[in-house]
Amino acid sequence: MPSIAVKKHAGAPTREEKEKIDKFFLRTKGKVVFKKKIKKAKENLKKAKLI
Amino acid sequence: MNLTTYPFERENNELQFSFISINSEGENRVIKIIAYDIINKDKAIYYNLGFGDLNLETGEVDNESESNNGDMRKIFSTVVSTLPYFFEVHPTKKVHLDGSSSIRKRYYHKLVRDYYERIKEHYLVEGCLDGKIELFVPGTEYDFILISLK
Repeated sequence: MPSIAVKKHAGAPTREEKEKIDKFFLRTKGKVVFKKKIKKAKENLKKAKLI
Repeated sequence: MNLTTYPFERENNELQFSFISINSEGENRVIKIIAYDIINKDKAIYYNLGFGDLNLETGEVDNESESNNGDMRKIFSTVVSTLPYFFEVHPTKKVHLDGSSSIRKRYYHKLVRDYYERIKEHYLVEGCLDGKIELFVPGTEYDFILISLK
C-alpha cells in the first residue's frame, strides 16, 4: 500500500462548520453525493466501452 | 509523494472526506466535501472521485462553484491525497477522475503529470482519448483518467 506524506496546515473546522459537515454526511449516508458527476462518468465509461 | 494539502477529516470510515479551504489571509472559509461514489452498481468496478463546496444555506454540495481562494492546486492535491484510503478499502477497483469544467480537468492532468514519476511507482494511470484507453502519457489531455493500484 503506497503511503503519502501529507504536510499539515491550519484549517481545522470550527464547531459550527463541523456541525454542518456532520449534518450533511448524516443526510447523504449510503447515498451518491455527486449525482451529476455520476451521470457524466457513466457516459464516459460507456463511450470507452468499459460498462 | 509530498503534496501541500489541507488537513482533511474522514467521515466515519466511509470514503467521504471534508476539509476547509481558506485564502492567503486565512479568510473566506469554504467547506469542501470529497466523495468516492460508485458509478455502476451492476459492474462495481469504477468509482468516481468528486469534490465540491458545501453550501451552508442549502446544505447541498456544488461541484461547479468557484471559491476563488487562489488555492486550486492545494485543493486538488488534497483531493488526490485521499486515494490511499480508497485503495485500502477497494484495492482492485478503479477511480474515475474527470473535472467538472475544462479548467478543473486541466488541473487534474497537470497534477498527475507533475507527480507522474512518483505516482506510477504505486498506481496504474490510464487516460481515455477518443473512446480508447491507454497508459497515461504526460502532456496528453485526456477525456478522463482512471487510476488503479499496480
